Amino acid sequence: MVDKDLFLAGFRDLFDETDPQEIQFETQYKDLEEWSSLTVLSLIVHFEDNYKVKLSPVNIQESSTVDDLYKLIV
Amino acid sequence: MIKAYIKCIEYYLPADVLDNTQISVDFPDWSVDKISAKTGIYERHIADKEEFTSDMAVTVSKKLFENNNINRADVDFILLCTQSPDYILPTTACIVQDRLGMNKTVGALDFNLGCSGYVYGLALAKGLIAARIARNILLITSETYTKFIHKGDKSNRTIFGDGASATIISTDGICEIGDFDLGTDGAGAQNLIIKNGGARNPLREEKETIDEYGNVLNPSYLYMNGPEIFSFTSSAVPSLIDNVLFKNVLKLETIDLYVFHQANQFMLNHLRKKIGIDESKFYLFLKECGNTVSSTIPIALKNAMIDNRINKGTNVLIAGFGVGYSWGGTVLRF
Repeated sequence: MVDKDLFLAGFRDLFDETDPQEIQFETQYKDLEEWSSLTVLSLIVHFEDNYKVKLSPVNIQESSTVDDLYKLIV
Repeated sequence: MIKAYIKCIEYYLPADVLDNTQISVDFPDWSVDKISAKTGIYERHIADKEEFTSDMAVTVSKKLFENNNINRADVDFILLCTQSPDYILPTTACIVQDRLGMNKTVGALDFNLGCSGYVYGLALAKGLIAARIARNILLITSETYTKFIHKGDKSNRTIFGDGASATIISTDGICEIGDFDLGTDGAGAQNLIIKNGGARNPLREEKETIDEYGNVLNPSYLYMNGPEIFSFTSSAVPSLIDNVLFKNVLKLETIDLYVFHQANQFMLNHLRKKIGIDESKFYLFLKECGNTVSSTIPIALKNAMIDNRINKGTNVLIAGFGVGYSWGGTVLRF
């Protein structure tokens, strides 16, 4: 079971310019200004490396909040 | 069986350059540093408005003949890899035969592949030699993708550049071409595509849309679903490398240099780590030309030779993967 706070911290690390406080569990991540196709790639690698979960671009498309992504690993 | 060798390689990049400063002027949310850090690309070369695939193919072939003392009369086959031919028909390789003043006895054909094209070209050339159909093959890769990229498509403008390469494959040379592993999965066809311009969808004016990342989409221009392509390579390439090693009776550590299709630095680093290749054995050549599709492998090979990263006795594993989906790999024994 992955700690929720650690998950959030890991997700925040995928962004270079966004204020971490702007990213919470209820955040609609696709609305973040920095969100790009490169963030999608980073997210896929992050899930694979840290949670051994193979995230597909469709998973990311269909999810909307950070919490939705968390549910994919628990 | 007659063995097949690469004899020499040359490449050509068009004169016009699109650098990161210009891209960040066009897309202010993309800083110069961010572009170079994420993609590993600093500049791309763009074919002139009046410069086409056959022009680059002729230029690079002349360079190959001159720099390597190749008598063009000895060439008996032309293989030309392109997805941006001058015309739908005739075959660009035929135009190139005439413009280079080559023998009318040569065989010539185009084949339509992208990032896997150079590996497939070597496989076809090896087959022609083994079957005694030809003895000296001119393999050309030439691509003007930028003519198909919409000015408002930030992602593709950042990644792709134009370029061409020419290689002679013969019964002797600098490296023996090993055994191949090839693969295809047309289920991914829609993820890297130019929809209009073929018989199914003739070129026409269509409404443009903007994708969720801010790229302008127009079905008459190149479309790439980056995340899907990334996902595909992440699954396909590790097993491709396993298979190439197995077929050539080699191990990961007995390869001296890995030269992959230079898609972008982010993807390459991911693949390298996933496969477990030591960074010192993984060749990158992206900075000055970006992703030139089927020319990235020969461009990188040429530069690795100039940099003395390839010497006599070096085993080089090359791997190409992308549009189709299509992939392939082999080992070059120098």
